[in-house]
Formats: sequence, structure tokens, C-alpha cells
Amino acid sequence: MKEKTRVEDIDRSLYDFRFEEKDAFKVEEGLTPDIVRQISKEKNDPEWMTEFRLKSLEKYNEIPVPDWGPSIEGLDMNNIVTYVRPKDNKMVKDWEEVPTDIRDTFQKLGIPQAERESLAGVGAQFDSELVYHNVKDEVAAQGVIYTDLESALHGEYADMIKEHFMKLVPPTDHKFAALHGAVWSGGSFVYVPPGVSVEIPLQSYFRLNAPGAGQFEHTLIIVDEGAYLHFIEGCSAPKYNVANLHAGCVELFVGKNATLRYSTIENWSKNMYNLNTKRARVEEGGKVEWISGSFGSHVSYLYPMSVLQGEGARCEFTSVTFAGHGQNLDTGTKVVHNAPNTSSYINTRSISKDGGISTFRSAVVVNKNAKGSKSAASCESLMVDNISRSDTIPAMDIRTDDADIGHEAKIGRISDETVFYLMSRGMSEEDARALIVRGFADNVGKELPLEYAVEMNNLIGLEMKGSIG
Amino acid sequence: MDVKVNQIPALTWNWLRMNELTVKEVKALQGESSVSYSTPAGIVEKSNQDFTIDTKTGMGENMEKLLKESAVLVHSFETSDKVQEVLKLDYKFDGNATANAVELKVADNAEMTVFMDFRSEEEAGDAAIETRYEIGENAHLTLIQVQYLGDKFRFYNNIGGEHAENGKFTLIQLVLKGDQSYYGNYSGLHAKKSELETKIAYMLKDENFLDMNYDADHTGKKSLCDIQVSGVLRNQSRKLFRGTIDFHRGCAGAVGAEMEDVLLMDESVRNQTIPIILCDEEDVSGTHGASIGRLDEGMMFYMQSRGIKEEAIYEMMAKAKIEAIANQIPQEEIREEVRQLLEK
Repeated sequence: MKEKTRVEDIDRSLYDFRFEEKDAFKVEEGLTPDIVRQISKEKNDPEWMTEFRLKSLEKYNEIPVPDWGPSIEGLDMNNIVTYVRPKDNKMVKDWEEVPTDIRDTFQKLGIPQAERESLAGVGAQFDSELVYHNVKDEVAAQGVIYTDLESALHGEYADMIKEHFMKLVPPTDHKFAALHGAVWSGGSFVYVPPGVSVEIPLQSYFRLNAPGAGQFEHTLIIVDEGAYLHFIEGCSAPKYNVANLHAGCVELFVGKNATLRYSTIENWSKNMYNLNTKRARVEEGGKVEWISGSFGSHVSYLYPMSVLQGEGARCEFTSVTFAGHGQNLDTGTKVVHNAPNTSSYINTRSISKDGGISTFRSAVVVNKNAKGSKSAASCESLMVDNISRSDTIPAMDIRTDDADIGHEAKIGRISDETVFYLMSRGMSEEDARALIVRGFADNVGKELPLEYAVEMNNLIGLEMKGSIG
Repeated sequence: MDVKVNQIPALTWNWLRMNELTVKEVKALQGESSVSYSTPAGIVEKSNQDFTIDTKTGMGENMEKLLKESAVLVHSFETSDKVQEVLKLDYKFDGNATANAVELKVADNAEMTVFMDFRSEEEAGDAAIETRYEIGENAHLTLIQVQYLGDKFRFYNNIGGEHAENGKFTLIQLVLKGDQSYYGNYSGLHAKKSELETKIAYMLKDENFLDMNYDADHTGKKSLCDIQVSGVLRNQSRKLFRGTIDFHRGCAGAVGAEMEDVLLMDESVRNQTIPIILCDEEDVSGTHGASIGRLDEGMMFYMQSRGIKEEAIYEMMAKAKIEAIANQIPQEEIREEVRQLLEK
């Protein structure tokens, strides 16, 4: 009898440990002006930020829930705690000073080890607060700033933060951008001075420990003229029976002739509503490279956006989405060509299995002034079984004749012919199918530093046995 | 009144304004426009108060309602034979807001080709037509539509139908002239090996607008669809193409493809495209592709080096796009008619 292949779910046991947060400080569940004021007070916000939060809350109450995309009916803001501060919280630069149980958490996740071996700096956020932030001396000596956003808000970079904070993603953008504006907490600020190339990556890791809580970190990165940075973002949470919410915001400012590579391995637990907003503005000759692996979450709305604002600005978007049992992952990208000779390249892969739903959604807009612009997109989806679903919804809006736009998409299952060919070269059917599935997701793996590619492969956790189909 | 039409089956961001179209200040449709035809042998004509075919349509319920309110008779053309002669329906729209309703029924093992020629007597006016079809087992319906309307004419062209096993629908549409054109087709590919073949060509100029919604709804095993769209945009013209291949669970072995090719000829044109694949079945193959832009520089250089002026090259390539689709019309007399329209 032909044995069905089972593509295993991601083994999440690594991420499912937690510790009691009984001593943590929490605001009440729900979302009211008083709660927002309380968060603002806890954060010691400047006055403009308190006003900003309250105006964002007004917008949140005005803007409707999206009428497209996966259902978020299971998310009740009245049950979400928007601010959780770990006990004994203070942001430190030495892992030894981090409270023991929190330090243990990050050690299990391999963050301190990764910092020692392959990173220029690390930020670690636990629930709503940064607990650790450090950058290597030689990188700091180049003038690179890598700190928590709240310190930056009160220190010498306060004006820079005020100038850039939620300017790319205004609270009016959508309901969850408004929510973020009201209750944001934690996150990182990075500034890379002109001409400085940060050779090894910086990483922020976000861990949401408390059940029924939300995490709303804000990442603000400014890469000045001619500079280079690779920033890696990782996230995880233990699984609970109640909904958790992540509504972070990432704003990236890429200067003239600068390059920013922003890599994400997203592995939230499967009770998470991941309603994250990421956006980059790229100036003349600059480039943003998005590398995105989406593996976790119950529901995701995730579409990193690139605004190509300067002549010759470029973006590359490379992603893989793996939707398993109980997951509805709506991912993709948005690109706005707003200047002449800009270019975008989109390359995505989606895998659906065990009843999982993956949707690739994109928008490429080429404005009238973006003459000489080019865009190419390739998206492929793989259906691993007959109970899953995969949709592709790409949109193109071209407002000039002087543009060259190409788009191609494919949906299908593993080709019997390819399996046959590989078997004719001496491989077993099992190995052939495993090779095809791994190769399918390789577009992201090959763009990551080796250690992260290995982590991604572990996350996929594909266990091939027999034949698929 | 304002009417929402051409909604896609899976919505996306509202800010793109591509999920559907709200047509502003739609006039109530009153009375039928004149249509002349002679019914070939083997085709039976009937008139009914209402449609007898129950199907969705491409433009959707609001458009169906608008047409129903006009209370025009539904002209039904039915055949049980393999009819070689083309049923030619010549529509002459006047300046009033008119409606026409047509049903095309092709029984098992039968074949029918219908040519609808849409012309207007006036420069301005409104006209709507709804065509429903029903294709029997191993039957084939070919519907060819050519639009050549006044420069201020507004036209609604709504189609929908159902296929039996191995039933094939070939739809060829040429949009050559007219101000505001709204097109939609829904094909219910619910039976085994049912097939849709769609070829659309358009040539828009000035401030022309063409809004389209094509939905291939696959539930039948080994059902097929192929949607090809090719067009030219000039001056300030604008076009929105929505194409959906919807693979439902159970349509094992289904294959769907859509391809769009758009030539942009002036800096103020606007082209919007949303080619969707919805997939709820593992054993399918779906592809879509889009190529949007100006003429290839290498080709331009080659042709200029042969002494052809840039403007003439564009004219030639624009006509070639339309002719490439028109040449797939089997009937020489219709192809010749299209050629003459392109020369006007």
C-alpha cells in the first residue's frame, strides 16, 4: 500500500516553555483613554507622546476592522492586556544582570550564544519592555547607535525620534497602526551614520510571555547616506488557550545610496494574532532588502511595504510562508514606485498543509513620475494536501507608460514528473519529495546568514516519509 | 443612481479601489434597442418574460437587477444541432438608455457560433446587454463580440453561464471604440472537463475607461480555463482587469491559466490589473502572468533601423495586438469586418 507522506508541523516544543508572570506589573484588560494615560505615565512619556497616544486611540475607535483578509473575530480587545512589565525590570547591558528566569528564557532561545558568535548587537524584549540591549564596542565606535526606543526618546536623539516616529506609518493608516500608536511599548532605535558599513548583523528578539497580552514594540531604523546594515528580527511566544496579539510597527529610513537588509524569522505561537506593520522609505540610489520567513501565528496580516522615494531606489522582497493546522497566514508585500528608474523584485513561496491557509497578497503601484521603473514578481504556492488552501491576490496599478512590469504566479502540487526524474537518477521517492519541498523554500534560506538558515530549516521541520499525495 | 458592479470573489486592500467599481449616475434602462438578425437553420428562437437559465454573472447581482427592472423580453436562441452558419446579431444602440437580454442554449453534442456586433447610431448614450448561456454535454458555444460605439457611449456587457460535462465556451471580445465600457463574465465550470477559453483585445484612447471582471469557477474535475487579455492604452485612457481562477475543493485535475499583455502608449494612461488564483484543491495547476509596458527597446531599434518612424511602429504594434486576437476568429467575414474597423 502506498504510504502517505506526512509533512510534520513545526516542532514548537522549543518555544512552548514559560514561567509565571505573577509578579509582573500589568494594566487592566481592554483599551480606554485611562489605560492609555496609565501606559504613558509608566513610560514617562514626553507630553507630545501622551497626546499622540490619545489621538491614536481616537483613530482606533473610528477606523473599522478590515473587511478583507482572515477573520479576527477571535480577537477581543476587551480581553487583551496592552502593557505588561516584567518584575524587577530595568534595561541592562549585561546578561548576568537580567533577572534569572528571563535570562533562562533567552538562553533557551539561544540569543546570548548567537550574540557572542555572530551578532554586532542584541536587543531582547520580554513582554512590553526591553530587558537587555547591547552593541559591540567596535560597532559603537563607528558611531552606530543601537538602543531601546524609550531611552532614545528622552536622550540626545529625542528630536530625531520625534521627527521620524510614526511618520511612515501614521496612526490613520489602518486600525492596528492606530492601536500601535496608542499603546506602543519597547522596541529599538538604530542609527547608522553616513558611510558606515556594519559588517555583522544586529538582532532584536521579541518574546511574549504573558497569556492574553499584546506586544506593541516599535522599531525605528535610520541608515544614513552610503551606509549598510543587516538587521534581524526574531519573535516567539509560548502557546496559550487565549488569544495573544502582536501589533508591532517597523519604520525604516534608508538614505541616499544606503542599503538595509531586514530579515525576520517569525515564529509566534498558534494563538497569536500577528497584525504587524512594516514600512521602508528608500532615498536616491538606496536599497531595502526584506527577507521574511512566516511560520507561526494563528492569524497573520503582514505586508512589508517599500516606498521608493528617490531616483534609482530599489527593493527586493523574498519570503516564505508555511501555513499548517489552524493557521491563516495572509502575507505579501506592497511597493510604491515614486521616483524615476526605481526597481522592485518580489520572490515568494507559500506552503499550505494540514488545513492551513496561506494567502499571498501584493500591490505594486508605479506613479506617474516613476518613469523608467521596473518591477518583476514571482510567487509560487505549493499545496501539500487536499484539506489546505492557498490564494494569490496580486494587484498592479501602473500610472505611466514608461514602466516595465512583469508578474507571474503558479499554484500546484509536487510534480510527479520531477519526482520520477529524480528517482530515475537513483534517489528514493521519499528523498526526492523531501528535496523538492526543501528546495521550494530555499529562496529565503539562501538569503539568510548560515546560522539563521539552519534555524529556519529546523523550523520547517519537514519530515518526509513515503510519498506525498 | 450609483451601482456597484464587478466585485472580485476575494477582496483586497480598499485603498487600491480595485475590489469593485461604483458606476456613478447610472440611468434607468428603458426599452430594448434595435437588433437585426436572421436565424440560421437549426437554431430555434423564443422570447420569454424572464431568464430561464439560473446562473451568476460577471458583473453581479446589481447589474442583473438593473436589467430586470427594464422588463425587456429575453430572446432565447437554442440549438440541438451542429450549426455551421453564424447567428449574427447586429445591435444598433440609439441615444436612449436601452437594455437587451439574450439566452444561448446549446444542447448535448451541439455547436453554435454567435456574433454580436455592437454599434451606436449616436455619439452618446447608454446601453446594457446581459447574455446567459447553457452548454450541454460535449457541446461548444462560441460567442464573438465586437464593440464599436460612439466616443461618448457608455456600455454594460454582462455574461454568465453554466457548462455540462465536456461543454466548452469560447468567448472572443474586441473592444475597439466607446467611452465607458463595463464587462463581466462568469463561467460555472461545474462539470467534468468543462472548458472556458477567453480571448479579449481592447484599444482605448482619449479618456476611455474599460472595467472588467472575469470569473472562472472550477468545481468540475479536469475543468479547464484559459483567459488571454491583450490591449493598448493611449492618451489618458484607463483600464482595470480583474481575472479570477477559483479552484474549489473537488476539481481535481483542473488547469487554469490567465495571461495579460498591455501596451502603454502615452504617459497619462493608467493600467490596473488584479489576476487572482484561489485554490482550495491540491491537484490543480494554476498560472498567471502579466506583461505591462512600452514597446521593447530592441524591437524599436530594429524597426527604426529598417526606416520605420516611431509613430508608425506604435500604430503597427497596436493594430497587431488586436489582430492577434481577431485572427483567432474562425469566420473570415468577421475577421475582415474587424480589419475594416481597425482601418477606420
